[in-house]
Amino acid sequence: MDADSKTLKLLPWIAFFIIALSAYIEGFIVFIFQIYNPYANPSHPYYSSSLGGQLSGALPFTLFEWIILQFVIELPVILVLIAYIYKLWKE
Amino acid sequence: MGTYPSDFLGLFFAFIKGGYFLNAIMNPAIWIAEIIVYILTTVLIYHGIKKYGTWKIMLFFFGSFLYTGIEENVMIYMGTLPAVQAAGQVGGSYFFNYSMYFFWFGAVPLMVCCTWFIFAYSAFEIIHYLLNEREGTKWLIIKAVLTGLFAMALDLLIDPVYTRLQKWYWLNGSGDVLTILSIPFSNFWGWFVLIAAFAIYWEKLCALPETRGYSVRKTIGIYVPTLFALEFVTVLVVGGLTVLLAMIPGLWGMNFTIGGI
Repeated sequence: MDADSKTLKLLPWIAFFIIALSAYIEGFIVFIFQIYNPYANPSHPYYSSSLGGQLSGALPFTLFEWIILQFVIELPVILVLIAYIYKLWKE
Repeated sequence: MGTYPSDFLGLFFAFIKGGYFLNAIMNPAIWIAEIIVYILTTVLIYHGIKKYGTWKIMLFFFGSFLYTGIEENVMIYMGTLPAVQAAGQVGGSYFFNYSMYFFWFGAVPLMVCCTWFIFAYSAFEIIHYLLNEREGTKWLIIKAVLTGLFAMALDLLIDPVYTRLQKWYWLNGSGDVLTILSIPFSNFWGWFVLIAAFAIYWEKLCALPETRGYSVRKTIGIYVPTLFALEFVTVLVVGGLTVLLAMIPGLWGMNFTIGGI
């Protein structure tokens, strides 16, 4: 694979995308599905706000708010990743 | 707020954290995370070897240990000092959950150092490509700033999630220090400064054979001392702004949040 190949140029994009996607999925696991770290400290204030989750009404926000939050915060990241793949495709 | 386990300092420098290691290997989520990170690290090192050559990408990779790894260890150790705790931990120290990672570089997970490399290097490459690999001092700074902002933007998603997974604990939270999404401001500011500063440093260092006629051996020779000097300056810049913000009435203790996160 030479330094100018498209496949090689795709690798940093893939790495960043996988890290971002895995964080997003883990966010869903924590906030929405309430699957929790078994070695968490129950006396920690975040424990009650996550373990009980939305089902018990312990979360201070809704699923909709969480999705909007992630979209707003990650909008620059999403745009940059789209721009990168578009430019690479057009090359 | 986090409470240190009783053996936290005793295991500070252990590569594997005793019984906590057994907790970690029983958790399939940790296996998946560690394997993904080490694969991505290998893929990016391969990319770097092809694009820049072995010695240049190795200087970038080891920066994740010698620069951020050591800096994080210092921050974590400082948080354990009674004098720092009594002062209210202005910088917002933290520590990692020994049960959530396999291997360690001091009190920082090996995986976290590798993740920093993935973040920094992939962000660096993405921004460079989008800006057509422009050169010159002005573009060097613009690219570094955008790289830092790009990586920091992703951390805005990651940190609120991982603190709730209790992968790490902040000693100060909402109400104690200035926070964004319940995470100390100094974390995001630190992410930005470390990545932007390292991007400039690495580009300048790797250009020394062309700009100053240095041999590769000499360039590698000055890597560690200059990196430590940069580390010292970075800690001053990150800590300095944090202390300055602490002096603004009404700002300290605020939490900039969306939806209560």
